[in-house]
Amino acid sequence: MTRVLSWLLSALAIGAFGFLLCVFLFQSGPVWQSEGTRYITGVSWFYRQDVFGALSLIYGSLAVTAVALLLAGPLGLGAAVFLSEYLPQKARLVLKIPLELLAGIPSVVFGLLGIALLRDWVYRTFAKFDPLSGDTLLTAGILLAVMILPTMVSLCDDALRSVSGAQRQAARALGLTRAETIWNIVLPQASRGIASAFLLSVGRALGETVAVFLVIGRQDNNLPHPWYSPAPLLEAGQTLTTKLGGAETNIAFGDPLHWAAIMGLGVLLLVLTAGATCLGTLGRRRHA
Amino acid sequence: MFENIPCKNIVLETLNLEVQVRERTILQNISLQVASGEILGIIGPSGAGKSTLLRCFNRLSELTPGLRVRGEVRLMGSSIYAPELDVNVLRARVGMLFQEPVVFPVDIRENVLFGARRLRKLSKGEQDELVESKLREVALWEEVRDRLKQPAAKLSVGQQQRLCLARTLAVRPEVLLMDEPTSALDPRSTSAIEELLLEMKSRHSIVLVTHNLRQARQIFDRVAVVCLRNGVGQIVEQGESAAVFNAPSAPEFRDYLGQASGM
Ligand SMILES: Nc1ncnc2c1ncn2[C@@H]1O[C@H](COP(=O)(O)OP(=O)(O)OP(=O)(O)O)[C@@H](O)[C@H]1O
Ligand SMILES: [Mg+2]
Repeated sequence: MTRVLSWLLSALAIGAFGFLLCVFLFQSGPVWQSEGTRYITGVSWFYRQDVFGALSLIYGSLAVTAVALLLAGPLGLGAAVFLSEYLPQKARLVLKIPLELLAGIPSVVFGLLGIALLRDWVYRTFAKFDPLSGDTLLTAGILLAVMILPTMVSLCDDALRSVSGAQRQAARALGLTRAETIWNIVLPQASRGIASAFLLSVGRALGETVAVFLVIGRQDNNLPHPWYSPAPLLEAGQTLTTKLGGAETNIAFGDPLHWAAIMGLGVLLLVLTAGATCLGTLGRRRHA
Repeated sequence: MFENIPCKNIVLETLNLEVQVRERTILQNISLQVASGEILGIIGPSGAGKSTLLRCFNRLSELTPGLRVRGEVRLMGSSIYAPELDVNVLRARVGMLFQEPVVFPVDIRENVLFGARRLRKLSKGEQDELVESKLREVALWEEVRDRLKQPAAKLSVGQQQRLCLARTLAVRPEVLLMDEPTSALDPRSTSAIEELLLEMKSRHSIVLVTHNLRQARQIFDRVAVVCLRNGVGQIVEQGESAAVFNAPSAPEFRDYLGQASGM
């Protein structure tokens, strides 16, 4: 019974998502026709000239997410290891409460904090690279890292806790130290859950809009040369979400091609976030 | 109640051991000795503190928050609580087997090598040798020699328990602690383990907890009976296994025997 129900609900969810994707795909039709694959690979976006290349937006989203993950990943996993393996059970439960609270703070609050505290800090700290302002991809990435950190810690902690105590005990009884037990027993067995924590965080970071919007500078067509250069991180940039959240979206609605280009960004965003979230959820499900 | 074991070396002994959880005393006044080459059995009703006692011998008790152990435990004459003693080295010297076999989610070979590899550097050849000799020692070699690279979890529960034993033996413990090692096993695996114990006791001293009276009578050399007295676990009787089982004197133990055989 529950199996049928869960299967039905899954089907419903997938159906709803498919429907959503179809709407977006249909509405973005004209831009795929006019730009083809250049819509994804094109480096410039000038809507007044009807040039729509989303690459810099994709780059912005991925760069910001990468920074966030690079910072929040190790930190979150480290904190989770401390929480789950070193702290007594009671302290762990007490600490999890503020974590959940932090995860529930509206993202605009983080955005305001970013403006108030982070922007100037980035500007001053990286002064020798001469950034134009504190509104940069890096700033947005750091802010995102702070935002996903609580979820990261919480999910990683769940993953570590799901490793049975008997495994730890057997390892300790063989004479392994606590650190060796964590390294050889706990982390490998929690790896699926940890991977899914990372993926769910990626989904969250890719989709985050308001907080990023407030500190990223919203500068189109910022791409690195060569592609691996980190220079654009200290420049203002634009992500899929900040583009969609900006004024251009309202302007676009009157013009079919422009609107299609905007809806196309929606398709990209949906596919990226849904991909990350689905993979993450699958990993979590199979892990549990 | 204290009996000395003349002309045999004491490997492990406790003196006035007392265990408390928060304010509650679980075990008190525990004094026992394990000589080399013998199986000391611990028997008694459920909840008397047998598992807790066993975990004091390799300081695994320290992993349980709130547990306080007082008194003395000596391994080869020196205190296991001595400040200069490395508790992880101690745990390698005093191996432990649990009620449910706990195999690690790696292949059979890696399971055997798990603890050993950490204690000493092993060449590939030495590893192969160790894996084979330990699996032979637990009579598992013939059954698994063709599938050493397969996940250990695929083995039957009885085979898993023997694998766990091989893994423990690979770190060359002086004492083996076993907490109802056969209670999750079928009769055939049980007798396999029992044969192994009898065969192994010349090399390792063994402390064995069991609820299986037949097993206890057959393979214990000496026995310590742990029962609740005034709500606290204590040794109510100990001595040569045959003597204790044939003429039980402590009323708690008689009750236990009565219930256990009545079942
Ligand atoms: N961590 C703990 N916290 C509180 N009480 C505990 C803890 N560990 C053990 N106890 C208590 O100590 C007593 C002895 O438990 P133990 O598991 O050692 O008994 P046992 O003799 O091994 O029983 P069994 O034959 O059922 O395995 C029990 O009353 C148990 O409730
Ligand atoms: Mg027990």
